[in-house]
Formats: sequence, C-alpha cells, structure tokens
Amino acid sequence: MNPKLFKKSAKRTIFIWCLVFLGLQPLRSNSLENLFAVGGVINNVNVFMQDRTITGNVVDESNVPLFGVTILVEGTSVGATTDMDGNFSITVPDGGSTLIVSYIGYQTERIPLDVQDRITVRMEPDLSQLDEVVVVGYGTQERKDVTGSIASIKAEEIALRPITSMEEGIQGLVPGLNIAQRASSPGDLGTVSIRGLGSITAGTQPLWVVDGFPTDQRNAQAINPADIASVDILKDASSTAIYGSRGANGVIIITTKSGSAGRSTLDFTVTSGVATAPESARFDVLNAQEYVQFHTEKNGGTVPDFIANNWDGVTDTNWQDLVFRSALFQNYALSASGGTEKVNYLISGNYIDQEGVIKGEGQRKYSARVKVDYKPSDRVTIGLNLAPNVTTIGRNSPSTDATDWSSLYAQSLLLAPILPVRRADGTFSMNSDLPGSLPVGNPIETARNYDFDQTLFRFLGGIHVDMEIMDGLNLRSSFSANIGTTKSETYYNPTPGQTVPIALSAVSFYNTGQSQSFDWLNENTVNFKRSFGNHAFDILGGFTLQRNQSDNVSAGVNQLQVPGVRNVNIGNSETLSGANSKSESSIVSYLGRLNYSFMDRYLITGTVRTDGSSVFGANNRYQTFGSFALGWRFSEESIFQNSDFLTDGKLRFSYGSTGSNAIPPFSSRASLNTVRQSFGGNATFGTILGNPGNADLTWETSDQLDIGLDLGLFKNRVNLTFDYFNNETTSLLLTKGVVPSSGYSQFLTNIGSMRNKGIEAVVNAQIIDSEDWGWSLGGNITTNDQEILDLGGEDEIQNFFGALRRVVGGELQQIRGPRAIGIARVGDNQTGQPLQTPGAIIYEDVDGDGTISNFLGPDGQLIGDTNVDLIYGINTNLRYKNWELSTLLNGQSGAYVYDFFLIQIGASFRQTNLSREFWYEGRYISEQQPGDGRTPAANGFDSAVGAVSSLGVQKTDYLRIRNVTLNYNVPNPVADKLGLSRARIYASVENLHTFTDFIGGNPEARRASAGGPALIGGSQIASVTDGRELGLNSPPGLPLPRTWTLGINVSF
Amino acid sequence: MKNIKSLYRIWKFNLKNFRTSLVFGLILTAFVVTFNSCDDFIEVAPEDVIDADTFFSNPDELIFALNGVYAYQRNIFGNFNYFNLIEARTDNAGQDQLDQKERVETDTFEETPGNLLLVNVWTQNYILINNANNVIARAPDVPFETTDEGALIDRAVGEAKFLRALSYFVLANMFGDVPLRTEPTTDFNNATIPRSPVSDVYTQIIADLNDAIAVLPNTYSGGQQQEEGRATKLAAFTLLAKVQLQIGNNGAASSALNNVIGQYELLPNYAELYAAGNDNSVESIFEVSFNPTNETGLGMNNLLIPASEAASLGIVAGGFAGNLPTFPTQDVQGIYEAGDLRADASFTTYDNNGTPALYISKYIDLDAAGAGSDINLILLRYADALLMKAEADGESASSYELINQVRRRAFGQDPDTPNPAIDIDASSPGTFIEKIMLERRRELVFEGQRYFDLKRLPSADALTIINNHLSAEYTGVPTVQEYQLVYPIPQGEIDVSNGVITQNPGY
Repeated sequence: MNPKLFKKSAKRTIFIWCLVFLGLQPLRSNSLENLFAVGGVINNVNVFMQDRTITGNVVDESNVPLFGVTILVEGTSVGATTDMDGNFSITVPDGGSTLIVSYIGYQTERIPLDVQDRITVRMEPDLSQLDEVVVVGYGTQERKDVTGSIASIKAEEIALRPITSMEEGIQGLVPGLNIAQRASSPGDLGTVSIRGLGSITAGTQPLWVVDGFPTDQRNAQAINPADIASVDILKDASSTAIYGSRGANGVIIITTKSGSAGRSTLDFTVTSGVATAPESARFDVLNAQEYVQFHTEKNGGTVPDFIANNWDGVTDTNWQDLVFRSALFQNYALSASGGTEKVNYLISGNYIDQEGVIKGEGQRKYSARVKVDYKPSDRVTIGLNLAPNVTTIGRNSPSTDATDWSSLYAQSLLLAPILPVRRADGTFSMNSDLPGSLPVGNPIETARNYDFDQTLFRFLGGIHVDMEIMDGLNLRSSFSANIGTTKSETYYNPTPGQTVPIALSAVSFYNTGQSQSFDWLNENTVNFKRSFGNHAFDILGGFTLQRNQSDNVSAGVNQLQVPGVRNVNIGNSETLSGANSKSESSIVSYLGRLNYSFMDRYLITGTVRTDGSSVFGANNRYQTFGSFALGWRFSEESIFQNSDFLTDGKLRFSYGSTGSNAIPPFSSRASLNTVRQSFGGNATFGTILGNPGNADLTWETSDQLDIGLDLGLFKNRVNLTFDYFNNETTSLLLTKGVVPSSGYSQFLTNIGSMRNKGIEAVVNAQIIDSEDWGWSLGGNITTNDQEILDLGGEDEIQNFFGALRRVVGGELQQIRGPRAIGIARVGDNQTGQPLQTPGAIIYEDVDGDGTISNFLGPDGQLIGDTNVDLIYGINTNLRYKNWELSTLLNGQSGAYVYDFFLIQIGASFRQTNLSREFWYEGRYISEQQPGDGRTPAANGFDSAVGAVSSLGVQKTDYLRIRNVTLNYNVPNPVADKLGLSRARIYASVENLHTFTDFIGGNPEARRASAGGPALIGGSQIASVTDGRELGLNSPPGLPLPRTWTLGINVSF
Repeated sequence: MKNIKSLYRIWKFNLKNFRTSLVFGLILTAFVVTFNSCDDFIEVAPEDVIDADTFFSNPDELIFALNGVYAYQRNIFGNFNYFNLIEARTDNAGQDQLDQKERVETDTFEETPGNLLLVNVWTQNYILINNANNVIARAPDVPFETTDEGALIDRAVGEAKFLRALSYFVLANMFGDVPLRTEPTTDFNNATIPRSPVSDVYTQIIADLNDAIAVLPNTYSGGQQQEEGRATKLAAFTLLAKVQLQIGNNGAASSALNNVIGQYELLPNYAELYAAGNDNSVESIFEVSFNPTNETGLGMNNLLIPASEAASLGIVAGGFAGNLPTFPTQDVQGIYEAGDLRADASFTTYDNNGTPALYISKYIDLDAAGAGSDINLILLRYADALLMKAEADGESASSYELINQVRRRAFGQDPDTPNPAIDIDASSPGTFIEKIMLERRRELVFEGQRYFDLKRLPSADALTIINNHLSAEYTGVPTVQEYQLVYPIPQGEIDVSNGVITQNPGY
C-alpha cells in the first residue's frame, strides 16, 4: 500500500465532500420539509356528514417523533401520514372506530377510538425477523409465512463496502450461494451457483431477476449497488418453481429502492481509496540468483550456456513490479427519494471509477435511476422505473482469462529475471533472447502496443399498472424492456521487426464489434390475498410473454497503414473481414401459486408454471413445472406459547421440479451451413448439412427436495436455520455419439442425470445488545455432495485430452493422472520410473507392470475432483456507542484444480521463470539437502509423465478476510447542527488477506475454456459456459485486489 | 345484507375506474391481437442461418445444396490424410519414419482401427454421401414450373448420384463391405445400419452411374448452374468404366469407354496438366475444383514441397519446414526411361541438408499465397481412359496403339503419329498387364490411382509389389498379409454401433 497515494485519495475525498456539503447547506431540513410535507396533508376521498377529526402524535420507543408513519381508518381507505414532528390529523368518517398505525420496522398498532380527539401513539420496534418481508417471485411474503428456502440480504449489509456490483457484496453472506471470482480485473463477472452445479452443459447460472425482469448476470452486475434495497436468493423448488423452466439453478431477485410516502431523504456517499496486489497474494517467482542456481543444478552443476551468454551477472528484473500498480478507487452516489400520498419517487445517480491493479486496466460505471409511482386513485397505481447505465472497461493486453501466454500478468510471471527490460540497443527484451526458450513477450511492450476497450450500455425500464378490483384482489400488468448495446474494439500494433511474442499476432490489426439486444417482457398477474377467520389465502395467477432479440456485427482488418487510426478502411483491404449474427428467442408462460395458512401455523404452498419456449424442439415446446410445500409454525402451538426459550419455530418441507433452458436458441433446429465452391475458376456458393437439430430436445429438469427448520430463540436474539437439500437433474443435455457413417458424429439430446445434496446451516446471534455495547455474530455453512448418476449409458466423458473426465459415480469433473508418491533418494528402486536419478519423482505403479504410463494409461488414476464440498461465511459486528466494527470472512474447501500453468506453461523444462514455492523451495538438492520430499530436483522432473500428474493438482481451500469496516455514526446532535438527519464516516478494507496453501494468486481463479478436444462423447455446446473450466487453471488468476477506502455517507 | 353492500361497492368502484379498466383491457387485447396464439409467439426461426427444413423451395436452392456436395469433395481429395492412405500406401511414395506415428503406420500397413487418418477419410466420405442423399431425397419435392426447371432437378439428381458413386467407389476399395446408405440420416436414435456386401455396394454404384448417364449432358453451356466442371455424361461413362474394370467386367468397361474415346484429346505437353489455372483442359474429364481467389485454394501440396525449395522458388505460401513427411520412393525414380518428360513434371531433386533428395513437384503453383494453390485435382482424365480401354480390351494392336498415344505425348511427340523409338508392342518385355500397369504408374504417378490399380491385380502380385517396396525402403517392417489389402473399419464406427458393425477379418 502506497501511503502517499492513500493520503492523496483521502484528502481528495474530504475536499470533495466539503465542497458538496457547503453547496447543500442552504437546503436545510426545514426547507426540505416544506418541499415534501405535502405528504402530510390529509386526502380524504369519502366525505360524510358526521365526520370527526382526530389529531395526534406518533413517537418511537424513546419518544422521538416518527416521520412518515401511515395512519389508516380500519375498513376504509382513509389515511394520513405524520409530518416531520410526528404529528398527524385525520378525518374519520362515520362508523370508523379504529386507527391502524403502521411503520416499517415497528409493530403495527391498532388504536380504538373513544371520545378523545387527540391521541399519542408510542410505537414498539418490531425485532422479530419473522415479520421481515421477503421478495418471492411475482410478489412478497412475510418471512413467517414462507415455506421455501429463501435467503435475503438487505442493503445495509453491503452498503459501506467498496464494491462495484452486487455480486461482489453477497459472497459469504448466504448459505448455498457460491460466488467465485474466476477473474479479478475490473468488470469481470464472477461465477455464481446455488447449491452446487446441477448441469454439465446447459448452464449452471441462476436466473437473475431485476425488479421483476428475468435477465442475465451482466445486467444484474450493471446495477448501481447503492440502488439496491434487497437481494433475495431463492434456493428450493418451492420458491423457484414459479420461474418454471428457468428456476433449476436457483433465482436471485434484486429489488431496487423506492421512495415512500412522507419520507423525503437526500442521501449522498463518497468513497475513495486505493487497491493494491499484495505480495502475499501474488504468484511468487524466482529472482535472478535463484533462477541461475536452479538452472545450474538442472544443468548438472555448470551454468548453462543460455545464462552464461546472456546474463550480465547483475540484472535482476522484478517483472511483476513493472505491471502492478496502486490503483485508485472512487465511488460517488447520490439519491433523493420521497413522496406524497399520490406520488412516490426516487432519483439516483452513481459514478464509480475503479482502476485495476494491473496497469492499463480499469472500469468506469455511470448509472442513474428514476422510479416514480403515481396513484390516480386510491385503488390504482401506475409506476415507472427507468435505469440507464454505462460501463466502460479497458485493458492493454489480451485478458488474463483468454490466454496462457500473453496477458500482462502471465508475461510478468514467465519472463526470466535475468533479462533486462530493454536490450542494449533499446529494444524490448523477450524470453526468446535466451536461446531455446519460448518467445514470451515483454509486458511493457505489449501494454504499449495493445489496447482493448469495451463500452456496455444497459437500459432497463418498465411501466406497470396495479389495480385493486376489490379488497384483497389485485390486478397487475407490466411492460418492461431491457435494451443493451455492447461495443468493443481491439487495436494492436506490434513493434516492427520484433520476434512475434507467443499468442500475439505478427501483424497489426484492428477489430471492432457491436452487439445489440432488445428484450421485452409483458406480465399480467392477478393476486387475491385475504383472510377469513383462521384461514388466510394468497392466490396468484399470471400470464407472461418475453422475447429476446440480439444482433452482432463485427469487422476487422490487418496490416494497418496508418498506426493509431482506428478505422477498418486503413488497413490491407484484402484482410478486411466482417461478420454478423442474429439470435432470437421467446417464452410464454402461465403461472399460478396458492399460499394457504390455517391458524397462522399450518402452511401450504402450491406452485405451478407452464412454459412454452422457442428454443426447444417442435415436439417439446411446452412443459409444466410445479412444486408443493408444507410448513408448520410449531412455536404457535400452545405448549410453546409462553416459552422463554423458543420464540419462533417452523418446520418446512418442499418438493418440486424446475427446468433449465440454457441452450443456444436454435440448437433444436436443423440448419445448413454455407460453403464456397468454384467451377472452372468461377466462384459460386453451396450449402451443406450443418447442425442436425433435434425436434425432441427439451429442458433439463431438476427435482428438488428441501427440508428446513427455522428457529428463533430468546426473543429472536438467536436465529437458526437448517436446510437439507437433494436436487436431482435429469434429462441432462448432452451430445450423444452416432456412427460416423450417418454423416454426423454426434447430436444434442437429453440423456443422463446428476445429483447435488447437502446441508445448509445459518446462525445469527445478538450476543450483546445494550445501549452502549452491541455484538452480533453470524455464520453459515453449506455442504454439497455431488454425483453424476448417468451419462446416457457411457461410463465416462473425457475432456481436455482425457486428463479431465466426467465419470458415473464421481463428481462433475475428475482429474486423472499418475500419482507422485515421493522423491527418490540414493539407493531407492527406480526401475520403470521415467527418470532414474536421485531427486526424480516416483510415481505409483497402479497396475504393477513395472513401468509408469502417462495419464491415459493404466497408471492414470483419480487425483482430484472439482466440486466445492464446503463453503462457509462468518460475519461479526461489534458496536460501542457510535462506533461499529464489522468483519466478514468466507471460505471454501474440498475442490481441486489441475494447474496447467504451474506444471506445463511455467514448468522447469522451459526457460521461463518458475514458481518459487512449487519448484524451488523444498526441492531435492542432494542427500544432505533432500528437501520436503514432494518437490523434485531441478533435473528430476520428466515432461512425459509428470506434465499431467498429481504434482499439478492443487487444493483450492481458503479462508479469506473479505471485509473489515469501521464505521462512525456522527451523533445526532452534531448531525442536527449540520442540518443532517444522519452522517457516517467509515473506513473499509476489502480482501484483507487470504489464508490458503494454493500456489499463485487467487484459489478461485479458473481458466475460462478447456482448450482441448473431448475424446469420447464430447459434451460441449457452442456458446454455453458449461463449467468444464472447473478442472483447469491456466494462467493464474490475478490476485484479488486489496482495497482500502475511506467514505462519508450523509442523509438530509 | 353485508354481501350486497360489498357487491355494490365493487360495482360503484368499477364504474369509477371504468376508464382505467378500459386501458387495462386494451393492453391485454393488444397482446392477444399481436400474437394470434402462443404457439406463434414461440415459433421463432433463425434469420442468420439457412433453415434446413424450409430450404429446397425451388430448383436454385437444390443446386446450391448440390454445389455443397461438390465443395465437400475438396475435403476428401484435397486432404493430406487421403493422399497418405491412397498414395503413400503404395510403392510410389514413402514416409518419413520419424513423422507422426499414425501417418507412418498407414505407409507400413501397421495402422490400428483407431487410426485418425482412417476415421477422417471414412467420416468425410460419408458426410459427402449424406449430403448427396439429401439432394436426391429432397429433389422430388422441389416445386418447379417449367420443363427446363424440371430437367434441372433431374440433372441435379444425376450429378448427386455421380458424386455419391465416386465416394462409394473409394470406400469399397478401401474398406470392402461398408454400410450402404442411400437415404439422408434423420433418425439419430436408429442411425446405425450394418455393412452391406461389397458386391451390393458395386451394384448401387453402377445403378447410380447409369442413372447419371441417362440425365447428364455431355457438356455445360456455362453461366450459373451450367458451370464447366460439373459431372458430365462422359465423366459418368468414364467412372463407370473404371468401376467395371475394377470388378473385372472388362467388356462392360470397354463398351462404356467407347462413348469416351475420341471425345477428348491429350494435352501436347504433360506438364500442362497440372499447370496452375489450367482448369478443365481438353484432357480433363472430371476434376475437383480449387480456387484461391474464392478462398478455396489447394493447400495439401504445401506439405509435399520443402520449405527451402518453396523459398527458392519464391512461393509465398511456403512449404513444409523440417523433414518432408511424404516423398517419392527411390523405386519410382527408376521406372522412367530417358527422355520421358513425365519424370521431371512429377518429382524433383533438392538439397536436403547436403544430401540430394526427392520431393513431389507435380502440384506446384509458383503464385500460391496464403489462400493456397490454383490447381484442380483431376480425378478422371483422357490418358487414364485410353489406358483403361487398352486394359479392358486386352492385348491387341489397337490396345498397343492406345498405350502408345499416351507414351508419345510423354516424350513430347504427337500422340497420333507412330514413333518406333517410343512405341511398344507385344514384343516389348513383360506381360501385357505388366506393361499396362507400368505405363499407368508412370502416367498417373501421385494422382491417387496406383492404390486402385494394385487392387485390380491378383492378390499375390499386389502383395509381392507391396512387400518388395516395403523391404526396399524400410527395415523391420512386418510382411503384409492378404487381409491387409483392405483397411480396418474405423473403431469409432464399431464402438458406437454396439456390435452391428463388424471389423474386417484379420484386424
């Protein structure tokens, strides 16, 4: 951490904020009150002859006036809200006998009216978590009535963290939710899964729903984190079946904040700070002396020629220091919300500027939101929600994810430390300067020559009309659209005359591409919610239509004539190329849900949804999904009624089926490809059979069982939740081999099944809760046991040349290879081993034939599998007076990865730099220095067997201190003096430290593609991220940046 | 009473909100009207690719699909895998023994059923056959309006049958009994069919060629759908003759060739045959078309030319860096008499790190750039027809005259003028069939004919030639057995078939 930079950014934060604050001074709360106090005016619709006016005052438990409390005359629509001083006045029509006073976070009070015309209402805070409102599909439900497995995260839990999107914020907070940061450049998406990966090919992403709009992760990530009110994670069939064919992988519902009547606030936040790549999280490589030492040992004790002839004996370049930097982080968020009886509004704006820790990387996010609800009458609401945002992402190399050799980070790891940055003649050095080595490029040079920019524009907007036909019966119709454009361009202008760096082009090029998507949704629902004595009903019916269209256009040219000009016409016209593609899909759905509760303790939920989807075969367009659930709030039974111990208790059971339709739109349809053809030198064109199609293609179906127990103990000071889940996915979308003489090699069909089962547990305890002191502790843990049950009759599917396999009875992906069982000492029997020198690896001879085969042969065995068996999170919050310290930790265990980079790309048989931990420390040097017994001698590694062996398998267990935040709430009197309703100053650090044995950077990182052919029964569908990357890591992921920030948040 | 009251309230409310309800209703109606039914709403067809179900709506589209079958021939005949299996397999070419194992194995008859070259050639021929089957199957349903259009459809079927016959001829020679498919594959759950006896395959080939002969024209008029280079009636006759000859029906072969002899002429200069850009010459009967300006250039020949040689010739596309994987045998160098121009046109000596070595120089395009060479691969040509006619007719003066026409041109002489210095006759050394085979080898060297010619010989003779070649070129190679005269059926076909497809005996 660069203290200078930190000071600079802190200074800047304070300065900017002072300016803003001064500017806002005239807007004191009084004037705000005048502006928005209209809400306090009573709006009486039904005027009768014998009305009486009641006035009153509402205060909280410490007699502080409450602003914006809703007062309603029972049985009528007559209502009022309190003003800034907690006062209200209401005209009660004839017959009105009771006032209902309600306020979020407080218990609703029923005040019988007697002769008094002036009353004082004291509201009691509602501490029960069970009265929390949970967002379910197409509606909300009170927590106590929920029969499914739903976890909720409120805005406050992530508000103070230096995050740029919601998904960074929720990792570790929710059981069953696994978010892995595969890549950690600004703008990269995490890999999100709920309750394990339930599919081989058809996508494992949950469905993302933003303000009711089913969409994808990129659109969810685009949302301004400060706009989010809550994130609800739906995990079992009972809660996801309402999303039918898209619910199988779980659903994440994001709800943005809205204005509410009477309460007008202006909220402003400035956060700024610095991110660094801490040494402890980097891929540690050798320095020049160690590098020379290693290669001298490898060469049998003499300095090899490639060093002797090319090293001046002094040069020791730390290439990583040249590509890393201290990166600035800034976030400004402003929002205003409020409303009257007729109109509620929220307006917000947000700007995030995040530099990457690798030079040249960064993203900027600009977002805005306008949300208005208008009530033309008391039974009709018309709402509008418009949220445009723009994200720009840039970098100066091919991405870390895309290639083994050419990202700046990979180059900085691979370049030998004995090379100077520039050669004597001033040109940039490369690893190929060492004869026999690979031409790994120089990151300084690559960064100069390479430029990638991407601009993403997203606009999610919609209108809705709600109408209360009669008490409890609501109609809602909405129309919304999600418009997106993504523009990217890549410009590369290699240094003339330079050796071409590996994985980079030899010629200059410029590519530009644009994609547009237009996605619209119409939803029409009817909801009936009413109680009749002991019977409470909540019935939902609906009909929805959604259509997605997208277009891609791209163009590129090579051999740019005028460097620097980004125009496809300024290049060799013979290399000019263009391409376009179009895609479209639509889905029509009928949905229904019944919630019934008897005596507030016996709960039944039934859900059904029929989806018709264009992506499936003509014979299988429609499918119905459904679930049912039972709940028993046993704490309501009389024996528990007066228990001091048990406050709330609920048993839940749910079973149902949901689907996954994550395949490319036209996979089911047979298509023809075009080919070029010439006759007698004249060009024409032809068609040949392409995708064979499959009219029977249908959804992957997931049958899910969930048994849950919710407990609230000691007046809900301790809350516990346990869930057992068992999800079985059937009709897995896999390709099946056909005889080649059919003219095809494989076709996509529904075969196979797999299962994920496990336990989730959450505990939250308010251990100390006094006026001055507070301490809460929470934790969650999820286990997952994964098994492939059937692969359509095949025993296994091989990926990545057979090093990765899907095997019936195994986890989703297995790593296969010979197992290294030790390092040879003098006198050891090394017969049949690939190398027979002391310090060489000894492999297990599984079949006992006296020789060691490679990973495909009989000595290849299971050496690791990729399922994350356990994830957990721990959070704690310590409060003393106005100070709060909160900490979040998360971790995982049980997953392995085959580290292709460690053992192949950056291996000892190349002259690239090496991992110190893997190759150098602990190596066998001599009988006197035998090392750790796991690391071979410098010359003890054979590339024939060793290159895919247990040596390259890494455990990815880790425990991470994800966030520590210290928050100071400015005391109310001080805030009042400043004209603020609330002020907070906070310091936060993200990714403080990761405890792990994983070598190199980020244990969550994975290569994005498998990079090798499937040998038997291939399982890849183009354009579907199928989770195959789970087994592979190459190149190492960037270290997660450690981000220190300082922030101020004020509300008027 | 209470119920009545609440009903009244609802009614009152509804009246009040009539306008809102109306708007609401209109929104719903709008959707119902826009999409006649939900089935229509989810019926979405791709716009950027050709939908296989709706294609073939007119004769033009049928021709495009047929063009695709022609185009697919490039994948087979322009592929180094096929070149290895057909040419390097024989005594014409050898393999660098340090090259990829799977290539070397095919040269020394040691390949396993899993050999990827075999899988490749098998698969690609069947992809071609499936596409041809699709054209044949869809043609009857293609609507047409004029008699010309009707004739065009018939002709397309004839061309497709010609192309299908050619691929089955290759498969039958390489593998013996093979699955005989004459319908496009549509049901993937029942895609496996057993192998048919090779005699049935030949029956189908001959039927297809007779069908083709009935509808194909002698020549094409040029222009769209009439391009020179499509299969002609004479090409079908020539292929029919080749097929009949291969199965010993010499009489049938001879009478088929009667339609061909005199219809073409030999190019004056042998080297012109494979001159870049010399497409569809007077000698050519059927060729696979390559065209670099249409990004369909021939690339396989780059693997035959050493990089150093390509550089010194100034070929931008370059050649093969390192040891050549495939090169002429020493034996082939010795079969040419002095003055035979075919030797120089077929192979050349170069300096291989100080030692002279041979490379196949038949297919050199000096202008070849990145997109490949402008050289068509001639599958049927007049010289071949003349030699086939001589072989079919048996030893006679007229047969010697046919052979001598080919020989005279090879020495740069007029083909039709007898030349005692060049001509051979019954008194020349060797049996008639030996003379024919020698002349065919000289004339058609590296053109993918030798493998078929060897298979026409009695097995013992073919085995002698092959084993002599192997023991001359390599040491320690096992003697080739009779069963090895056909390749093994690719293992992938057998594995997926669950035992329906059997392996050739011996493998």
